[in-house]
Amino acid sequence: MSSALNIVMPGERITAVEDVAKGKRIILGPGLRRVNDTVVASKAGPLKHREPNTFWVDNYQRRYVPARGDLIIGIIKAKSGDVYRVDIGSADSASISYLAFEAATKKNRPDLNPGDLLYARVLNASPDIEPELVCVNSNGKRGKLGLLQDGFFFKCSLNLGRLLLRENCPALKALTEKLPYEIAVGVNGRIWVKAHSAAETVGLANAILSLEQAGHSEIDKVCDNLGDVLQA
Amino acid sequence: MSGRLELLSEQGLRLDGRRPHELRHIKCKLGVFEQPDGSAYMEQGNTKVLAAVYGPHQAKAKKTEGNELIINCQYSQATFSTSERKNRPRGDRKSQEFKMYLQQALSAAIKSELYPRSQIDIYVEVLQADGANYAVSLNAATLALIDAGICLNEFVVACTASLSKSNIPLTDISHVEEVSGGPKLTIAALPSAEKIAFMEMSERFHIDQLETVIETAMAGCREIRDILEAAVKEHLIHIGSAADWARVC
Amino acid sequence: MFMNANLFEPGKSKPERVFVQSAAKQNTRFDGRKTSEFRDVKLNFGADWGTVTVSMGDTMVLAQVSYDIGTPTSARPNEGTLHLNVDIKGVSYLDEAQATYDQRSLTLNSLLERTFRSSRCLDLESLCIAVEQHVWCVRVDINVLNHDGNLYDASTIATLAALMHFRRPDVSYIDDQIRTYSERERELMPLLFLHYPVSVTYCVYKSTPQPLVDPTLLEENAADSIIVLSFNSYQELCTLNAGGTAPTNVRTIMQCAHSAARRSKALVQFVRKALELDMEKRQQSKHVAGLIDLLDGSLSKFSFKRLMEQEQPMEVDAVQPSQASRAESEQKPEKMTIEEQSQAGQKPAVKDDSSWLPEGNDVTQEQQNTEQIVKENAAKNTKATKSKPNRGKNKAGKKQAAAKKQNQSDSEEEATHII
Repeated sequence: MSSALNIVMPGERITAVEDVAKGKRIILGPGLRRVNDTVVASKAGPLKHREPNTFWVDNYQRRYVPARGDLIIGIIKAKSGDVYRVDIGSADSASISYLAFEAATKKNRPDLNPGDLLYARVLNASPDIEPELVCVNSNGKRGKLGLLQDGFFFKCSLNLGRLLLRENCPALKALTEKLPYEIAVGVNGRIWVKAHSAAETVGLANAILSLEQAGHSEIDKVCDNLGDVLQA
Repeated sequence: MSGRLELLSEQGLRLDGRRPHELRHIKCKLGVFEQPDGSAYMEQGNTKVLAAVYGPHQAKAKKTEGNELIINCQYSQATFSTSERKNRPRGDRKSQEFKMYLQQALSAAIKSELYPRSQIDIYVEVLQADGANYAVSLNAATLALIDAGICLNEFVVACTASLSKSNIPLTDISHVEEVSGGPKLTIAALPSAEKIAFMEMSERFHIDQLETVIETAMAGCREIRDILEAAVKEHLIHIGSAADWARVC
Repeated sequence: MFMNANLFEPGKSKPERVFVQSAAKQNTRFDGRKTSEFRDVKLNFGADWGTVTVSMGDTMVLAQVSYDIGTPTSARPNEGTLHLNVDIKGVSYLDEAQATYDQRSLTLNSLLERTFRSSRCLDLESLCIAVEQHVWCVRVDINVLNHDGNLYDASTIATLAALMHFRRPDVSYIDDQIRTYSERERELMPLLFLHYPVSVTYCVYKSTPQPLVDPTLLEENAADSIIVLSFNSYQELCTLNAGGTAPTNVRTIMQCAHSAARRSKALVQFVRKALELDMEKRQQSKHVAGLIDLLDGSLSKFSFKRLMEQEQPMEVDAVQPSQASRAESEQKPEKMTIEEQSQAGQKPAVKDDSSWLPEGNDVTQEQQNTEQIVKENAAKNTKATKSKPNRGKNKAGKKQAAAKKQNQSDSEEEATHII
């Protein structure tokens, strides 16, 4: 990863990427577009690069645009035919088939009702058709996907969601030392948490939300605060 | 509070000759229309209201969200309902507000868990407005719902109350009393359960009076409930007479 | 700051509702408040007369009073008019934006109308210039800038503060001619009030008999019923609105009414005090706060907690013990994070406050302190107590000591004078 912070503006031609592109094939991530033979930024933010050949612009966003393979939290809105309509916070509501659950058959349907929370993976996402979700992996096992019961869920920015999903996220690790909890993070900016009591859940949710502003350096402080609150 | 009229005479009578706790004369009739599933006409003093109920029927697709029952109310006042002829489109702020309050009060009364994904339409038309329009409309709507055979938790009835200058609470206030500048409190209640489904108040009085005024309005609600109950009973005996119900009773 | 800027609204989904219900049952609130605890109210006055922003937590409301000379209605030829309008469109959400009158702006408008107009809060007869011909038309526009619940209270406080802050030019009516005097010719005139109403909002849940006060958007959306009561400072009920799917009983309403009456009194007191301080500020400094300053948090604001916490211990001594216990409990900061935030927020504010005081004023202030040292007097002596930001409680003695110390360093003479 390049450490230098290089902020690009929409419409800016990015020659650094073009130079790399001369030597090898490159992958342009979100916020970068190819216009004829030039690479142009379409979002404002720091230009990020991961070896060997991936470039993207990191920007603060609240609106979710579905992408294949994303883990998301959706709310079931309705049953229609043999699919459920699910609200995932994107422009269009997504659909999930009755058969996309572990051990589901035509006869043995999952028992889900409007308003239930679902942790699912995006199977298909294209600008032209509505996104499709699944709750099983390729082996037909549910893993960690499926219905989320009880607990509390709230909305945050997409960046916070991604921050928490990073491998070995220091924030979540620090929080585990304070109290046991369950968490499901959707990259669509929705987080579900569950702890032993309502007070603990509320404290936890507030701690996570405060990370939105805090940044990594203040994680310890947030955790200490949470510890104090829970003891009180 | 200049310009505020005294609502009680020295003899303790109100402007229209009633005593403080007296309701206006109530007349009501169920099943006045053929077309709707339920309808009622209600007269409280000079305030006259028609109500019609359609449903429950399947909810309009775009409105359905989850399994809930949709209660759709329409409140309108006839152009000739007040002393000043006024064309009142249904969309004006006052009637939108009344519509919302009707929905709130009725949703507390209707057993909505029995009607998932359905819709009930309630149309209320005020033919003559002489005070307590909301209260009379709600009472008429309750009667129409009963006529339509929709399951209710209980009668939901509304009554108004005011306070005279000498702090004597008045029940069921008329238009003259309304505009004379006294406070006005409207309560929609489930009288047997002693629960308040909706409550609204304007003008002002001291907090110490609040409880007595609420109690007066609640007493009015109970009284109206008894009158409505009698009317429903009579109506049932009447329409049931073909099937010989009267003799069974 | 503007957390609700995205298009979905908290509290509308089933899991959220279930959680809020169960949390309410256990007396837990999402922001760590107690069921009867209010968020801090922050007031800020703009450069113009009658421009006010009010924030309560993340809820933010801007009120602006404007005026005009118009003709009176035929029904009331000798009264000016007061027009109120709430604009909520900026924060309304996609599904509701289509309806011309969505529920929220409807109730909000009707509530304001009843609180300020039907209760005759302004003396409208004083706004008459010539009977049947010319009257002042006062208009209050309320813009909701961010919605995090309890718009009712925020907008009534904003409206009241804006109307109280507002000044109109003086006019004379001679020989069918209206002459408006500019600020230089004659002093501007404040509006005349008959009473000062503000509202207090409660949320009722089916799961618990205890109503929650000052709900956030999450709590408000998940609530079964909402009770709004407007009281004026004389404990007169001006507006009441209770409705929703959960029927309430008389006892709950009475319970709410009594605490709302107390709260309203304190709020009106707070607005008065903030106005006083604002007047002082206006006389002393030439600094003009623009709209941007109003909206971002950098400007010093009049905070309810800060202004009233110095007021209340004094009041407690004078009034009943029941109020004392309430005041005590209100002041105890109960959550670390919140306290820390508020402290962090307060420190720069305190500094700002004093920065507009000219330095030369200090001496006279110290003298004032010596004279009324027991009757601690709000923010005038922020300078003196700045070193020890006092956290409420009955610390008259301690304060005295602090002030004494300060004085000693300033002048030996004055210190001996106190003793």
